[in-house]
Amino acid sequence: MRFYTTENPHLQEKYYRGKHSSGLEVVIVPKAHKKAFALLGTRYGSVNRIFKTEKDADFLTVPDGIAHFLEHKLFENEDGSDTFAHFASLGASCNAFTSTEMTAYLFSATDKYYENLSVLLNFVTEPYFTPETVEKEMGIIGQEIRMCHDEPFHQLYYGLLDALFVNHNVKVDIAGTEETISHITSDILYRCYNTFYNLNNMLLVLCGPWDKTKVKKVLDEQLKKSEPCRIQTRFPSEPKRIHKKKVVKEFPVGTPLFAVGMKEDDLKKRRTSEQTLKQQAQHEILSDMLFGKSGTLYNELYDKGLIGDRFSLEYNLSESYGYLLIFGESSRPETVYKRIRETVKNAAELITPEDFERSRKAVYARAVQDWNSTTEIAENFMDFAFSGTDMLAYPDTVANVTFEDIKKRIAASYKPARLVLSVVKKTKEEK
Amino acid sequence: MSQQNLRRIEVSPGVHLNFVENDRYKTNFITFDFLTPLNRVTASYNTVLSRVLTRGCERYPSQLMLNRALDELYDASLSSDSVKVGEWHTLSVSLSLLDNAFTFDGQDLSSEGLSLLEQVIFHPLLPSGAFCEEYVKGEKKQALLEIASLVNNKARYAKGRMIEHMCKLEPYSTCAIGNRSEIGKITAESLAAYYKKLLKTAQIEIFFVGRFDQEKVREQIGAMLCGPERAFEPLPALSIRTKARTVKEITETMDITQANLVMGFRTACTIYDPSWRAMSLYNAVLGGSLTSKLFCVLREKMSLCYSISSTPDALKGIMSVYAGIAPENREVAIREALNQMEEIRKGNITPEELENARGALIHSLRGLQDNPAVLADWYLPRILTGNFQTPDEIIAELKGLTAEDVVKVSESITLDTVYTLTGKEAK
Repeated sequence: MRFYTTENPHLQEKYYRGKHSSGLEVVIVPKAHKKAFALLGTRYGSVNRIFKTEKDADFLTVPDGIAHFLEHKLFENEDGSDTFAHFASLGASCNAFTSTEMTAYLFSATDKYYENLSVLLNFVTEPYFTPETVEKEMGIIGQEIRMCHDEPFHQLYYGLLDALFVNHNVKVDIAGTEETISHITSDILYRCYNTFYNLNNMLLVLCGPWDKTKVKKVLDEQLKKSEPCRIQTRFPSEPKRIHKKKVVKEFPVGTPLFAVGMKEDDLKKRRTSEQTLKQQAQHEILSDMLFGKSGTLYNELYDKGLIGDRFSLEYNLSESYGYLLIFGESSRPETVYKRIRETVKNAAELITPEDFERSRKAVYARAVQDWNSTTEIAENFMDFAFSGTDMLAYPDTVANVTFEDIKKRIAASYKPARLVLSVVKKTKEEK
Repeated sequence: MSQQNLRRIEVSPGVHLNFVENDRYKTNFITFDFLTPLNRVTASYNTVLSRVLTRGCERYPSQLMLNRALDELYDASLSSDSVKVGEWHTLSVSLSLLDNAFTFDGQDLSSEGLSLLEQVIFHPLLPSGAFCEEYVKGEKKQALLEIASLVNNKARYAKGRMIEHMCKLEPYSTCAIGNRSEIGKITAESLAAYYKKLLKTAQIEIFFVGRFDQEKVREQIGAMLCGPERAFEPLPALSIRTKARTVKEITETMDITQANLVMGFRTACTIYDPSWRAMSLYNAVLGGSLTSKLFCVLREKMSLCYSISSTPDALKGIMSVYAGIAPENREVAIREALNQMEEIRKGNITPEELENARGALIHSLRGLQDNPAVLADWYLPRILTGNFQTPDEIIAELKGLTAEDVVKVSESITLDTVYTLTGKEAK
């Protein structure tokens, strides 16, 4: 297998990328850290609810929460041995996570890197489920679902997605509900597995003191060739308009939590990777200028006691959806929302070249800091890669954004009609 | 791994510089820790003061100006906090900075960053001798909101409530953020008096993690600390209760679907004891890792929970066991957790369980260097207790421990409190 090198000399970082004969794509980000990190991910998450491959006659609709359920079940082995123990005996620790668009398995090791890599590749490529083991998992995931249900932030987040999206699968809870997971069987799990865990649909990211030749040797030993296959996922069509202006829920919390969302209006079909990165960078700089902690709005709201220091911004862009998020705590969420709305409406008049320079520098520094730990690098790298972009190019993309770009971004994306508000406040009977 | 070694220099009575060199980061980290005894008054003052200091200083009188100055330092991140360290309390002010090598223009961020910290800590806004009224009022309100919001994270809230009940008459029960009525009493004048006393009497630990010009830093710090004369007051000794008397059972309710079970134990073992290393291994075998007995039995075999863990406090000699369970499974979860502890006491630890637990501890010690802030936090309690072992030395010690050592520390553990936070219908 051949590795191609991509470098960013100023950042003093590089990576090697290549495709293994099994079909698996591999990225190695060399770092001198003692802690080596490995992340094996598949392009499969909670949004893949209705799908087929070219070999299947019909589309299959699966129960909500199954991608996450499958993630749990892959830790089970046919010989009854415990995957956590395999890693622990090699001095490593492992974990996994499922998001809307990916499922990923990971370990970090400070020793025996290649043996641990074998264990990772082995357990993810050898599924084993029976009706009994599936049944057993219901109790564990049931508690995970309840834990999330009792988490006010979780309620806030899904309230916001429900307000933003009319049909999009992104609004469905990743873990499903206790009811939906009760319909999961080992047969459906195998069907999902065989569709999405094709090596051609997966990516391995390694970060740390990895050696290319030794990595290739482990891949040769552990992986069987996957035949390339075309997966079709059916998505309901999503209109441009928002679903609800406001969602309010009541739960035991201290200060009410609020989230303001703005649905992305600028969703071009077939964006290039460069366009995606630019859009991301422009949004990050722009939101920092208008809503960041060095901006006038944040300081006005803070000085008036309307918000606290728990206040954050996030912009998410994927192929079929995008949104800007502003999270915080406030005893008067409606007042804060009103000010944010005014700021969105008047954005073009509010921005100055000085603010732009300051925010560009700050966003650039954050993009460089993302290269600190092997864990963060690998996880972010996969995020970028699955959206078709390159993390190593991001700091330069940020540095190259101009004030003119920001003005155009406002015209394309800052639409008051696309704003929504989600609030979680104290249950009424409580004092 | 010589990168993790600590270089410690006394600059004046009770004030130390601690250098942890490491050149693998994109960022460098500086933190000033001011240590006080833990009680309702110090915790409340440290919290409000830590917040007021980062609202503005003489050179940057508003948060807006301060944040813009931080942006000029390539988005340096300034944070302040007040946390419990056993039965001590620390007010910390920290700065995380991009390394000079990664700027567009070769700016000396380390030195400028340290100057900014100097402004924030040593030259606060004290118009006519007191802090700015408006800032004190605003930050008192924020501190109270922070206390009210503890309830948002149910597991953390339940763990805090367990400690409050278990250690009711001990300083350890103090909430790290402080106490509502004590916060209410703070004025702009009393806060200024507290601040001046803190600079004069507190133990001060200053950490530099990453790449720094040590000589330059020493000079800068020397100039910074030449202000008021020091009258250092050493920290009080820790109070350790070695045995539980009776088992307290407390159940509280809330509008939630899951029950949060927290069991508190007295371990009779702290970082001062030679057996502390064995206690940390005991914890890894019991519930501190993904191969622990609690995880394998209560979660994987019995499907009772998703989250389960045990955590010892190195400075207080207590251990807590947490599980998020269905309310109806409370009794069986308690019984089985105690049963697993009994198994260890009887010596039922397989060689795999022991090695996996040992491996998990070694792994986390080796991984410490991945994060500069974590490394500083890791060293603090060790420095305070005169324990200067490096991670490598601790690893060597861990490698020498046997199952018998683990069994031995398990014998002195007693159950003190069983706390449950559960749904309204469940009670």
